[in-house]
Amino acid sequence: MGIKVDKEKCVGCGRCADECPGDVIRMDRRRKLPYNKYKNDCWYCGVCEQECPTGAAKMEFPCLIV
Amino acid sequence: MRIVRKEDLAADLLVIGGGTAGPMAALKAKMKNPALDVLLVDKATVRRGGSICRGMDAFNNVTVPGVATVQQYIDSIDLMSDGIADPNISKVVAEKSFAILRELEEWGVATFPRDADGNYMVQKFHPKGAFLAEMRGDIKPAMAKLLAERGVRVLNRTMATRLFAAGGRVAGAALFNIRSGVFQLCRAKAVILCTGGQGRFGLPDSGYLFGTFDCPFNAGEGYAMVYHAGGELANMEYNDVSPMLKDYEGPGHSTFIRHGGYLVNSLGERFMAKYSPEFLERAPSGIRERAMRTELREGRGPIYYDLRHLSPETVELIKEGIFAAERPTEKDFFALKGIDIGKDLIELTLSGPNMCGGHGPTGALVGVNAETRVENLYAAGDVASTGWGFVGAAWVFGTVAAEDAAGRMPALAFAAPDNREVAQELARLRAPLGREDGFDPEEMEYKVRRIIKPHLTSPKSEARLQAALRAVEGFRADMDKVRARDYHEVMKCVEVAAIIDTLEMAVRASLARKESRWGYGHYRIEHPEKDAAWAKKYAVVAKDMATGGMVTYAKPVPEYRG
Ligand SMILES: Cc1cc2nc3c(=O)[nH]c(=O)nc-3n(C[C@H](O)[C@H](O)[C@H](O)COP(=O)(O)OP(=O)(O)OC[C@H]3O[C@@H](n4cnc5c(N)ncnc54)[C@H](O)[C@@H]3O)c2cc1C
Ligand code: SF4
Ligand code: SF4
Repeated sequence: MGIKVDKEKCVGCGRCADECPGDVIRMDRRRKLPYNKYKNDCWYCGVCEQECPTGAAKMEFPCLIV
Repeated sequence: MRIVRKEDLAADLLVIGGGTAGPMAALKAKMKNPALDVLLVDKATVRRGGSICRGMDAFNNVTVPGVATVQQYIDSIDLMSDGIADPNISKVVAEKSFAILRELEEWGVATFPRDADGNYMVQKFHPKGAFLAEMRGDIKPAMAKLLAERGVRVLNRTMATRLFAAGGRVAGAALFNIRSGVFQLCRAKAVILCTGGQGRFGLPDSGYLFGTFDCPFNAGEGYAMVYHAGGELANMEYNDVSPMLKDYEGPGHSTFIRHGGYLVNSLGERFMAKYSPEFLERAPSGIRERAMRTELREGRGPIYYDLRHLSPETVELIKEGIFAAERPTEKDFFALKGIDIGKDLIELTLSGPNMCGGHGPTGALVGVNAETRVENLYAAGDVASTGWGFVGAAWVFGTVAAEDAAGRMPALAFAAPDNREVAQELARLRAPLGREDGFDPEEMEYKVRRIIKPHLTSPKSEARLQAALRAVEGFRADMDKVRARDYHEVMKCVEVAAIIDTLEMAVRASLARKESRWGYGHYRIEHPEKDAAWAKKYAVVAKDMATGGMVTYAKPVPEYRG
């Protein structure tokens, strides 16, 4: 499923999108928020969470797993 | 949207894949000769790409002096491979792994916990000897920092799609930036290929193409690149099947087992006792797979990991290793499913088959310096056949390849790639973007991968293998109908083509090895026994450079040179 973002905490730095190894995440430049462009390419690795400086990013499991 | 070709690049040494083996290779080349121009490319990022993106809880296959011996390691791999792994390669891993552990520690890249007596914590997973050292640390960013300090040039989000060779010598690679769509030829005097194995092969039970155990961003392009450049590949018939957590194909097996966990069936029996009384849970993987499939077929499933007998301290160590070092999201998964691993049984499933030189014996055939048959082309890590080498072989052979290449560099010159081949490659990448309509790459990938489990899982039959070969032909034709909407999808088209190539390799090698070996690693219905004619022989897959067709042949495994 990719990333779930807490909009209150996100500072729009783009690190999650820069480092996601699957290229799942891209930045919405206008809203300065990350979004899942290729949500089914997620490996559940959690890099997005780890790279996020503010704790805004959370890896979310997809439908068939939850 | 159009792929633009930009100016050519050049480097003394091009390292493709910035996961585990690649960064080590780039660093060691610079350490040996700081004047070398080293370029490292990764289709993800060097900071977070590959199997160990979040770290890893154990350095598998390190021979710690006083704990285990080089000979025990060679014997273990010989047993696990049933003689189909080069013992000289095992020797290199065993002899050089400990020095790497010490370097990683010294550089501050990884830490290795010690017990109360100050000894490294090393556990047993192999049939003979203990070779798994507990490991911690955020390895990848620390390595990336060292690379920057040493002046290694890095290109992220840059995928290699083809290697070019001229007169049996490597000349360079086609590079494609998956975000900007830029295509460049990179010429190099030597290339070290470190793109990992085939993690997108058999479909996972979760229903997601990327929900695999092995890193799904390694889709076998390395195997395809070696093949098209004229290299040889070995053990493509070997099914790499690991027990996985049900629904989440996350890691756990080696951690659970090395700390003394059991495999049990639904009756609570430690069933491995029936199939491998000597090695139990530590039996070679194909024997374990056969045991598990038999239990399931005969109605004693589901099967589980049972850690309930382990001490609370051991369970804590397991949790800490997996949740903090290897796969933190696994903690969320267990929480989601309400599983407490020290108190509840953990249901498992069988992954893959995948192809891997780290968890298995599959990959480019290399010598003791990681050299392939193509001159100045090296392969290290899961892309190479270095026998169940895990991170140990990736780091050791990354090192060995770099030192050999750097040592030979003064005498090496650029080879000239064939311009027509470069133009053809550019056209291959452009084609799916140029289609107005067509199949989605995901649909095509699903179509290809859905036949892998039924046709390649042991027991394998001649009829099913032949049917798979016919399907491969159809898939290749269908690729002309796949449309990409953006550069990310162009990357997927290249990956799907590699999946088809590796599928053909697996099928042809399975047909070639007319015997059964490694339990369910390769079990042929028509040839259920081991055949002495195949003892100590690889089934090699290679490209006939004259006809362009795929050929297979037997090749002796090198004798141990001591
Ligand atoms: C979940 C999991 C758990 C594991 N547990 C352990 C363990 O506990 N202990 C242990 O020792 N080993 C473990 N292993 C095995 C070990 O991690 C691997 O054997 C090793 O990391 C492989 O290193 P590598 O460099 O070959 O590949 P990787 O580290 O996977 O790196 C390959 C890199 O190549 C890049 N790439 C791929 N294709 C291309 C292309 N076409 N162009 C450019 N770049 C490309 C990828 O983005 C990636 O960064 C585990 C593996 C996995 C997946
Ligand atoms: S979990 Fe990994 S693959 Fe999935 S979105 Fe986050 S960084 Fe990307
Ligand atoms: S890394 Fe965190 S703060 Fe930065 S863009 Fe992503 S979610 Fe927002």
